[in-house]
Amino acid sequence: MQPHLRAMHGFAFRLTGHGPDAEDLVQDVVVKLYPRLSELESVDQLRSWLNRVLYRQFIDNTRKKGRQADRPLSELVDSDGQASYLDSVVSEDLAPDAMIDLERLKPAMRRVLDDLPPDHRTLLLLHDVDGWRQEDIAVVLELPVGTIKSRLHRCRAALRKKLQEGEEPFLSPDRQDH
Amino acid sequence: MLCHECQAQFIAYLNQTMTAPERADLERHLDDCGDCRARLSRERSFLHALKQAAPVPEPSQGFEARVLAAAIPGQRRQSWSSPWVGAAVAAALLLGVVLGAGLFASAPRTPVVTSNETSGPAASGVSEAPTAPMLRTVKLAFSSHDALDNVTLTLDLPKNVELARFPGRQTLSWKVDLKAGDNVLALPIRVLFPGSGDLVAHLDDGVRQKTFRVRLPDSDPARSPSS
Repeated sequence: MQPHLRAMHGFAFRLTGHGPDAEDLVQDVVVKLYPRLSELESVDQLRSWLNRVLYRQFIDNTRKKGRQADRPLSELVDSDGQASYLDSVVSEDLAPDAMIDLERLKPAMRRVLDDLPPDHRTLLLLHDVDGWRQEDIAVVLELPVGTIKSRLHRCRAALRKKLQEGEEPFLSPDRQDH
Repeated sequence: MLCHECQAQFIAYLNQTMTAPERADLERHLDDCGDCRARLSRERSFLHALKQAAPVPEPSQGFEARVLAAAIPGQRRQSWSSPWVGAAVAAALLLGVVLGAGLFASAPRTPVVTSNETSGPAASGVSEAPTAPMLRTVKLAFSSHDALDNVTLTLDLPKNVELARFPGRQTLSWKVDLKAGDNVLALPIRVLFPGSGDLVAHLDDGVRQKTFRVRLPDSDPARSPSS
C-alpha cells in the first residue's frame, strides 16, 4: 500500500481541498485496510481499488459531518441546481478559439476555479490536470464512462464560460487568429 | 478522423493517456489539419494555465510514516486523526471569541496556560536520546463577549515546539467561526528540544487584528517520563 500513499493523498486533496483533511482521509483508509493487508495482494488494479475505497470513505466522512459543500461528486453533479446550470452552458460557443495570453490567464484561472462548485472543480482537475483517464474516474465513482465524459465536457464549458463572463479580453472571439 | 473527434481527445493527447494507436490516428489528422493544430496549440496553453492554477501540495513532512504508524496496533497514540483536527478547530473557535464587537477597544482576558500534561515517547527497550521529542498538551484559557464568523486564526510557535499534527511547521492558520463565552482550548504540541518561548495567536476578521502572546514554560524532553 505504501507506494500508493502519495497518489491517494493527491486524490484526497482533490476531494477535500484541504491538506490536513486529505492526510486524515488517507489515514482513515489505511487504518481501515490494515487488518486486510493479505487480501490486498490479490486485488487487480490496486490503485483504482484504493481510490474507490478512499472515495467511499470520503462520502462516509462527509455524511457524518453533514457538510453540504463536500457532497460527493456522484451526487452533486446531478442535483437540480447544478445540472440546470451546466445544461445552460452552450459549449459550442466556448471552444478554445480565442487567443490566449497565458500570463493574463493564470490569475483569472485561479479565480474562476475557486468560483466553480467543488464537485465540478474536482472532476475537471482529476481529468485535465492530474491526468486521470475517464475510465479510471468512472471506476472510482462507479458511474458509466459516458456520464463522466458528458459531465467533463459540461464542466469544461462552464469553466470557459465563467472566464468569458469575467470579460477577459484574451478569450474574446474577436481576437481569434484565424 | 473528423475534426470534432480529434478535438475531443486533446486533453488525453496532451496528458499522454492515449494508447499508441489512438495517438497515431490523432497525429495523422493533425498532419493534415491546420485548424486542429492551431486549436491544439491553444488548448496546450489553456491546460498549462489550468495546471499552474491548481497544484496538489506535497503532504506534510513524515506523512507516509505517520499514516502507516497509525495503522499498526499499539502505535496509534502517535498518530493524529480527524478528531484531533476537530479539536484544533474547536480550539480556534474558543480563541476567536475575543474578536467580538468592542474587543479591539477593550482588553480581553489574557490567555494563560492553565495546565500541562506530558507523555513521553513509546517505551522501546532502547534508551531515548537526551533530546527525544516530547508530546505535551497545552491548555489555553480565553474569554470575551461576542461571536464572529470566518475569522483567521494563526498560531506562531517557538522554535523548539511544533503542533503534533503538523511537524516541521511553526506557523499555521485556520478559518474559524467564533462563539462567545469563557472557554479553554487544548493544543497537542511536540517539544523538540529544551527551551522556553512564546506561543503567539493572531486573530484577523479581515478588518481588525488582535495578537495574544502566551509564555510556554521551559520544557526539557530529557526529563520527560517514558510511557
